[in-house]
Amino acid sequence: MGEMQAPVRPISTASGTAPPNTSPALRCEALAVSFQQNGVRVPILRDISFSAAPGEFVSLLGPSGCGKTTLLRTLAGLVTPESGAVFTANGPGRMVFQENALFPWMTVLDNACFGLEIEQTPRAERESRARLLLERYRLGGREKAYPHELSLGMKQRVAVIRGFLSNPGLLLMDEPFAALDWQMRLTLQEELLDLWAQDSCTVLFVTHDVDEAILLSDRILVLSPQPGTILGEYAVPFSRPRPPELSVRDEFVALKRRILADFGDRLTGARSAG
Amino acid sequence: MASAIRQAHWAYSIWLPFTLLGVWQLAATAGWLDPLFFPPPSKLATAAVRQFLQGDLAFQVYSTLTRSFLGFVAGTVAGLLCGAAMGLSARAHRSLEPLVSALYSTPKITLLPMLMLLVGVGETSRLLIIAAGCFILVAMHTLDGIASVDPHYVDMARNCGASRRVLFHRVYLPACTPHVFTGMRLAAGRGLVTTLSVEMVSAGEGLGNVILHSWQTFSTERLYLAIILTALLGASLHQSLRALEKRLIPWRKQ
Repeated sequence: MGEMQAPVRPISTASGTAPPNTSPALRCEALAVSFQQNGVRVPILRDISFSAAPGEFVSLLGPSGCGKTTLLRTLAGLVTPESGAVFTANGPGRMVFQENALFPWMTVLDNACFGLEIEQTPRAERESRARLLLERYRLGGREKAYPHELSLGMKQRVAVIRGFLSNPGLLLMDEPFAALDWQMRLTLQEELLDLWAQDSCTVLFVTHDVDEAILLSDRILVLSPQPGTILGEYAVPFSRPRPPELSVRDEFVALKRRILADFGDRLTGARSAG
Repeated sequence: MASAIRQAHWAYSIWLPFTLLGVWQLAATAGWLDPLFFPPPSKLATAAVRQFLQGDLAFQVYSTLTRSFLGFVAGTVAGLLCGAAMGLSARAHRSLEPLVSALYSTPKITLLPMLMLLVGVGETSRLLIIAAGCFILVAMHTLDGIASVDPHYVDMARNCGASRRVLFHRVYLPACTPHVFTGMRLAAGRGLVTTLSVEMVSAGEGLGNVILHSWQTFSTERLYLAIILTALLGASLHQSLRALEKRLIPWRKQ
């Protein structure tokens, strides 16, 4: 991981527009989503507009219940928006879920390969690709295990591998590490960045953890409590690969302080809930 | 709890039946029990060997087994179809539900006279009764299984681009297998029970018939042998289905 070259990635400006000569991997325009609850219309998201450049890592930071998951599900094509539009360069995004992210009835190998299986990649090829990644991320020998035999961290690791293996243009990650302990979370964050560095996909990463958002992303979008809308946006200028010690450096702390100063009152609810 | 059961030594599963047999043997030889009514297990054992070698006992076991097996297969196939239809179509559910729940709470054996009027007193009526009991259990568990498929997994597969066909055989089918299998395991047991009841009231052969006939002719040895064989059949059926379940559903938390 350490010897990996930092990939050159387009980092968009704080205004949220992609560089003019690149067509964005993802663009949302005035997206609004609401649900019917006992006959009453409950707005979940309103006026969401942003875009992500190809290969960009964007975090959506917001308190619990701000509609982050709904936004991801909309981008994944699982929820139909009430109004507005979503444009994606390579079809709907692939989700990596926070809980039950694996099919309990499939082995680790089958779970990792599922995206490729759908694309009808020949079995030998998809399994060798999956084995390679499972091996690299310390899941070698567990290919035939079932999810209930794995720890939470291992399960999420397989889910992340499946996400990358399914050739996503856009990967949508819904707080995939929220339930992990601190140590495990650091490991998986590092592995995620490692996998992403070798792939050209765009990642949209939902979290309520400011540190996680800064450590991982090129850009952070802050969402308001329900109905969720984008309150602010921060470019994260730190070079890659980013060591875990980054989180105690002055520039990191300064950015974190800025985000908390601007929106801390709206994020604190999430921090205690998380 | 389940793991505690697995950890206990296998000897725990057999000490109780053997102790009961021992007490019975002791009571019979000591003269506390009338050997005419309660022949000691040692005599039963020799009678068993004799009846299997010279008599028709093997044939009686065979009749009971084939009869309950045929009824089970017919009832299971119908139950799977009916349960799947009810699970997948709201109209089928509405239409079939009253009939299914009425049949569920009716002791199947009470339908035998009516069925004999309909299809005659032959083997068909017996098989139908046995199948009816299996049918209900399999249909209800299949319906439950389909209803309990977590939409989260359907979303997850759809998000990967799964077609309806893939959804069916990679998500719906495996997700409801444990329920369906539970239904089939219960149905196999119920099938055996119904077979015995039917044989007691309306068949010329089978263990149920042996039990009733031995009672009428006061052949106590044969009576107990048939009862013990019935119990052994039930126990081995249960055990083998458990083993099969472990093989077929390896991902189920034990």
